[in-house]
Amino acid sequence: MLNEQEQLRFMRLWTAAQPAVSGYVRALVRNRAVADEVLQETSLVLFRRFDEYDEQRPFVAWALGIARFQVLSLNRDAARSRVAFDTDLLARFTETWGELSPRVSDRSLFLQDCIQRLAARARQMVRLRYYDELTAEEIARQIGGTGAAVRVALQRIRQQLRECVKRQLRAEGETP
Amino acid sequence: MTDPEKLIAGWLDGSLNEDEQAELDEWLKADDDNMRRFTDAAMFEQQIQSATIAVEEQPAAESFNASVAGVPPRVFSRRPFAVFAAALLAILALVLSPQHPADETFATLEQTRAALWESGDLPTADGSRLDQGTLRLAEGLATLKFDSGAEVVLEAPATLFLVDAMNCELTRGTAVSDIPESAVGFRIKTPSADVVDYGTRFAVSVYEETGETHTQVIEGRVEVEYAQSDEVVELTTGQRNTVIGETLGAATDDAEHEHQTIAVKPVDHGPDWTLLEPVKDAYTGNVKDHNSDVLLLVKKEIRGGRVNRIAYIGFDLKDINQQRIEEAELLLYFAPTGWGLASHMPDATFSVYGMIGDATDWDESILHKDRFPAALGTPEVVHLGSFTIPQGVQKGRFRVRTEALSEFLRKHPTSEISLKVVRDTVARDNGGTLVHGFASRRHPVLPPPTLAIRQQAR
Repeated sequence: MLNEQEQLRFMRLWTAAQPAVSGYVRALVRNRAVADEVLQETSLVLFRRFDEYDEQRPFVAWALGIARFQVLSLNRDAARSRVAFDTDLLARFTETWGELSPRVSDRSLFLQDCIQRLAARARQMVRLRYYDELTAEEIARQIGGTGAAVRVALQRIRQQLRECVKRQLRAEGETP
Repeated sequence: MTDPEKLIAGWLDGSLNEDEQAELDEWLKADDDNMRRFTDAAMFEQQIQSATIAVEEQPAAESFNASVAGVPPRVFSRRPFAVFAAALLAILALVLSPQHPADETFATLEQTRAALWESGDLPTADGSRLDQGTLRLAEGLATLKFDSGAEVVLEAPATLFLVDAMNCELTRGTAVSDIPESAVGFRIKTPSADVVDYGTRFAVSVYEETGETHTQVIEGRVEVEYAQSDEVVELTTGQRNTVIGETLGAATDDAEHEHQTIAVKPVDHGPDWTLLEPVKDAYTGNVKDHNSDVLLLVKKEIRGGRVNRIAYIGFDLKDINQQRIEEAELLLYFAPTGWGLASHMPDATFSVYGMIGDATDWDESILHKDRFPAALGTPEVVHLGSFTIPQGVQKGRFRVRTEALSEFLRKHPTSEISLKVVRDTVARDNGGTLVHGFASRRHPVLPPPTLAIRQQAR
C-alpha cells in the first residue's frame, strides 16, 4: 500500500492525466457506461500499480498503456468497442494519443464558445449526436433526410469547429 | 483509395465496413503522419463531445456571462467529472477505509499457534474472516484458508498482503501453501518473483532486506516467474530455487532455506546463583553447506540418523564446590536457523544428557560440525532432563532444571563436565525438516548456553 505522500503524488498525476485518458477510452469504447467502467478500472489499476511507475516516463503515457490493456480486455461486442485495429496499430494509436494530448488540450477551452456560435440546425445536430448520442440514422429520422446526409453534415460541422478553434487560438497568440 | 477523411469520419461514426476498416488500417500503417492525423481527429471528437455536454448542461446565465466577457468558459462538463469523482471515491475508499464491508471477505484465519501480531489492518483472532489487507505476524504460525481452497501457513516473522482468494503478496517471511485443485493458479507475489501454483504443497520465503525469494516445492509443481522479465522457472517435487536481485536461479534439488536470528533477553538469576558459560561447544552433523558458526544446530531426521545434528556443551566447574550444589539449571537460547519448515514440525521435545567417563575430553576442533559420527563414538550418557518447544516457536529461552542435573554435577568426578543436547521429535515430512538451533558461545547477540548453579550456604 502506498504511503500518504505517494497517494498525494498519485492524485496529482492522475488528476492531470485523467482528461487525456478518459478521452482515449471514450474514443475506443462507444458505450458510455462501459467506457466509464473501463476508466474507473483503469484508475484503480494505476493506483494499485503506482509503485511500478517509472518516473522517467510521462505519467500520461504509462496511464494510457494501462488503459489500453483495459480496453483490450473488453468483450468487443458487448462494449461496442471501436477497436478494430490489430494490436500493433492500437499500440501506435495509444502512443500517438499520449504524444498529442498535451499539445491540443487548449482546444477544449474554445470549443464551447464555437459550438454556441453554430447555426441553429447545426447546433441541434451536435446536440443529438454528442449529447443524446444518437447514430446518424437516428438523427435523420428526427430531423428528416438520410443517414448519409447527416454524416456529411456532421463532417462539415467538425471542420467548421476546427476552423473556429484555430481562429480563436490564433487570436490568443498561440499556435494551433 | 477512399478519401482518408471519409474513412476517419466513418470510424468516428462507427459506420465502416470490413473493407473500409482494412483500408483505414493500411493508410494508418503507411505513415506516422497519417496516424497523427487520425489520432488528432479522434481526440477532437472527444473534445467536441465534452464541450457539447458542458454547453447543454450549463445554466443559461453562466453561458451568457461567459459570452459577454469574451472569455470562453472552462470545459468542466458534469458527466466526465462524475466519472472522475466516482473513480476518485473508489480510490479513496480503497485507501482510507480500514474495514471493508463483510461481504468482501475471501479468506478465514483458521488457526494460530504461539502467534504474536504486529499492527496490520486485518483482524487476528482465530476464525476471523479476512478481506483485502495486510497481516503482520511477529511470532509463531498462522493458518489462512482462502475461499478458493488454498491453505497458507505463515511462519513468523512474516508480512502478507491478501489481494483476493487467488492472490497474495509476501514481502517477508515464509508461507507454506497447500493448493487443492480448486485453487490451481494460486499466486504468491514477492518483491522479486511471482510463484504460481499448479496443485501442490510448496513454501516461499522472502528476505525483507533484499527481497530475494526462495521457493521450495514439497510436492507437485510450481512456476516461479521472475518479476523483471518473462523468465519462468518450473519447480517440481523436492526442488528449490532462489531469485536474488537480478538473478533468477535455476531449479536445484536441495530443499532447505535460510532466515536471520532474533535477539532474546538473558534471564536474571538471584545473587546466590553462579552463572557459568561454556568453555567449549560444538555440534556434529554430516552436512556440507548448511552450517552455522554462531548457532548450535539440533535436528532429528525422519530418515534416521545420517544427517542428524547433535550439540555438545562443555563447562568447567573449577570455581564451584561441586558437593555443595543445591540446584542447577541449564539455559539454552533458541533462535530460528532458517532451515526447514516450522509448520511441518509438531511440538518438539529435546533431551539433555550428561556424558560420563573419558568422553568429556573432546575438543571443539575435533568434534566438528562436518564430521559425523563424531570422534566421540558413542559415549556413555545419562539422561538429565527434557524440554519441549511448541509448534510455531523457533526462538526463546528454554531450560532444564532437574534433580538429575544437580545430582550429575555433584557426583561428577572431575570439574570438567560435558552435556549433549538432542532432539527427540522428528518432523512430519521428509521434505524440509526443521533444524532447531540455540546460541553458541560465539553468538554475537544471544547469551551462550548457561549453567546456573546455586550452592548450599556454608
